[in-house]
Amino acid sequence: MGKPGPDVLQGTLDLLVLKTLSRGKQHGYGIAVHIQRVSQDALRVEEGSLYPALHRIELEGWIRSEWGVSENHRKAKFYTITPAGRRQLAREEKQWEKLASAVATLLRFA
Amino acid sequence: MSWLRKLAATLRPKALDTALDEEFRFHLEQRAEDLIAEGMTREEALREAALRFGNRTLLRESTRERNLAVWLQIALQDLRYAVRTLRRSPGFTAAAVLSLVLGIGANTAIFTLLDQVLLRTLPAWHPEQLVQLEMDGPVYGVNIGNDSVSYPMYRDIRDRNEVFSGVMGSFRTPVSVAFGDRTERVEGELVTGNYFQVLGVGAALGRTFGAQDDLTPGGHPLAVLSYGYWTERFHADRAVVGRNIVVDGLPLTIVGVSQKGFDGISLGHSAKVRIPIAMKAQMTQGYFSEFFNLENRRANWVLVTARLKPGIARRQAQPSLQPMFHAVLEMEVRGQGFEKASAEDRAQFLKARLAVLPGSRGNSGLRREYDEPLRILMAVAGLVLLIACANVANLLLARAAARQREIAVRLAIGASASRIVRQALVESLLLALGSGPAGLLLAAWMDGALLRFVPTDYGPANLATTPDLRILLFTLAVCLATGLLFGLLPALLSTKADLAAGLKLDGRANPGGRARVRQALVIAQVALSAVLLIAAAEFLRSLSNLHRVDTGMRTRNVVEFSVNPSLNGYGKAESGRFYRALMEQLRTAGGIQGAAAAAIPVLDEDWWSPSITLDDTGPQTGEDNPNANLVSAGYFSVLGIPLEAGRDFSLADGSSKQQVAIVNRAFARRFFAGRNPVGHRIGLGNDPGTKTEIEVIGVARDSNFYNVRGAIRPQIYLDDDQNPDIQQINVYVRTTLSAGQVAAIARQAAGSLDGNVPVFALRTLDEQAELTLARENMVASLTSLFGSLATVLAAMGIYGLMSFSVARRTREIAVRMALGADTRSVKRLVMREVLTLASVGIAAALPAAWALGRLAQAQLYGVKPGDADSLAPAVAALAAVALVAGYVPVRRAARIEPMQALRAE
Repeated sequence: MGKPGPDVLQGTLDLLVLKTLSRGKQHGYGIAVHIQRVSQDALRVEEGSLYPALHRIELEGWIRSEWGVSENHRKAKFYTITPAGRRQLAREEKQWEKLASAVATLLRFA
Repeated sequence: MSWLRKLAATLRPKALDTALDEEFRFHLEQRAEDLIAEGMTREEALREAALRFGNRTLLRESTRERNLAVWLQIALQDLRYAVRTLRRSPGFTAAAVLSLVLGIGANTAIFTLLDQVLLRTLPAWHPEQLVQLEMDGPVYGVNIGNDSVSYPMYRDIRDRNEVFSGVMGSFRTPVSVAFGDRTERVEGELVTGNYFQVLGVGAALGRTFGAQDDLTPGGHPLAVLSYGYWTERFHADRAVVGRNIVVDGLPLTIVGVSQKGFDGISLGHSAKVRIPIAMKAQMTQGYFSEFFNLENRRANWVLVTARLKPGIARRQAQPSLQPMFHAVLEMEVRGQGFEKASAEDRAQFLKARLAVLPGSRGNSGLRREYDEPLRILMAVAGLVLLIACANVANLLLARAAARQREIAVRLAIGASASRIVRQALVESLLLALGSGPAGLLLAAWMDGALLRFVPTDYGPANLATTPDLRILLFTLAVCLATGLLFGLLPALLSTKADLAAGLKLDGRANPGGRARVRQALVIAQVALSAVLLIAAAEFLRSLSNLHRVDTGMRTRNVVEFSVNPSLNGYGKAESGRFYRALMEQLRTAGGIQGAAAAAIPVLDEDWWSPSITLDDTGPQTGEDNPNANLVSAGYFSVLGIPLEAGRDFSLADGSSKQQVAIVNRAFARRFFAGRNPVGHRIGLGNDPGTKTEIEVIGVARDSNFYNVRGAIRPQIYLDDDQNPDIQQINVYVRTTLSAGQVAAIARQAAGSLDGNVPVFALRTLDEQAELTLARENMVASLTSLFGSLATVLAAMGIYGLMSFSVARRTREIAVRMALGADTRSVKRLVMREVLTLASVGIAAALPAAWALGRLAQAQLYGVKPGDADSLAPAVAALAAVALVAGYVPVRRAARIEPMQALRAE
């Protein structure tokens, strides 16, 4: 295995995954499609980053997984956010907002 | 939990891979379906989906972070990161490691002793089944030790119980062993034939004893050597089995060597030679053998150890033994020795019970004596470790403040907070575990020194101090606990940094909360140090009180030594001749002003206390027997005890029919209500009708006898020329010569009479007095050492915190100075902080010190816990150290150049 992808993306990806799961349980494919659809194709999640991220986040204890049946009756692995995950999501959202407003301010005045 | 799952997944990598493949397949099919819905053909859609997904094997690999190898790799990364950070700040690392080595070393050292003395079980088979049997009631007759029974009683218990699978007896005694051309006095033990079977201890060589070796009194001239003695004295020569050694003048055949690591059942003692108890009469000839023999029921000397049958609890065994025990007592009270006993004595005797005490750790006077001192020292060492933890936590926080920017950046670029906490913890654990080996070395060295504080008759106590697995595990546990203790708080605080503030270019955010934590840590350090220093002051004062105790003797310029010809097979008459010739030679030797002897050694925690009968008030109750001793003419002048009334023993007394005694002032007070006892008559024993044949001829000044610590007790001195039962002779010499010179004279004198009678326990009387203060010395020395150590650590803490505080307040101080504050007021400003820290810490310590002092009161002599004489010096010393530690940063604050400092902002 190589090193995990660049940390910047990783940090953001966690936020996106947790946010998506905060709406309800979802399988990997569903998460990828949701992020892409909601961001109107601006954000595309590569499978190569998504699955390592999902497993890592699960190990952190922020999400849980279980096998279930998809809408079209296929066996799929579903992920659910945990209470610890919700707390982490709140933290990351706050951090992100700060950073975004900082960058916005900078763009306005620099 | 997650590492458990990682481990489980690693053990079943196939299952994990299958699960991943299934998850990926679902993804691909779903994607393909969506693409078909967008208008692709099935074939195109499948290819496109696979294309987008990329290399599945690679992905599987990278997803499998659960793999232990990967996990280890991450752990290694954290470890490398920790090593790198520690190397980047060598000053911090050195200070932290030093604190930890001292703390861990102190704890391991004390625990090693505590473990040996209080916790460790005997190296026997199922030690938890072993019990110690003791008589709980008054002794009617004579006894050696309070925990012994007579040999016939032992036999009765052995043969008439239903709860033990075996009952064995033993008796510790010094023996003289001659092998080759050397004779030496070593610890020996007389044991019943089943001794080794009951303990479940085997032979390393040859055989141990069996029941057949204990049948005929005097008929089993055999010996089993201890493993240690075999390797030491016999160079582990396997041919030694079957050869003879001469013990107390009698040749014994060596039948074997007991198993390695077995040192007997008495902690701190280790018998070198074990001999069947059937040889009692032959082995301890002079030792009142007319009383202490295999038949007399009125002499208790056998220590009884039994093994409970499986499934029988100690508490069950005790009641079930009483009917049998009572039947034996009923039989005894009608038998020999009780003819003259009063009805009251008989009734009391029949109330006795047989106590069944835990025996898994063996029998030990050492444990009783050192139990409390060792617990106190363990608590003290624990406090030192806490202070060390506070110190390192403080250092970590100081460094975290400097690294705030680095951590903020790492958090900002997405490192998870848990990863940062984990890395901080790895660093702490690395520090703690890295300090472990040095701590162990320090502990081994300290224990070597500590054993000198645990003396026995045969030199330092026989306690193993080389760290074994138990000690290693203890140290490991201490390291891990320590690492978590000092590492957790700083680690958690490190991610609490305000991101935006941390990212500011000057990296000088104001971590207010963290500063308060650091203050609290320093206050805790000061408080703990104050507790230790106050305790140290109390113990030191107690020790100095003991050193100043007026023993009632002139102990200076007195050298003592002992010989025991009875161990070389001397009978009474021969011993008497040896003794008189030896004293004659000593009295005429140059440089010796006087020589005298006593049967019971002075200040050696040994005693003989017979019951007595007085001519006017009759038999005295057995609860308050006086001490007695047999002494030679000249005893009082050699030891410098003045006679306050009457006369000294004279040579004429030796040949006179009239028995005489000298008593001390305390005896006159207790038994004659202060009247002059000279001319009164006393008798030994308190049965009705005991004759009072001994005339009191003098009264000596009160002096300590048992040890320095205890109260002065009533004492009778009898003339040893009139009581010629001589065994060990303890000689006292008043001289201006050194102990070494006296040793040469004593060896020469004893050697000229018999080269095989060794001279032992040769030391000055002052050294002897000091030996009885070994425990007090140990506690006082170690508490002082630990207290000083704690103070140094606290000083480091104060210095660190104040330096940090001054650096942080540079701008504030500069502004104040720019506005006209002078150097003195700036100094006062900063010093006030130091003083506040110190006083809050000390104030917090006072109740704790008082409470601890109460707990340790039994160990204090003439010191009231928490009195001003102990508090004042401790508090003053700590305050002084705090001010000095704080003053350096204060001077730095006073030197701040306002303009320069403000411009730098």
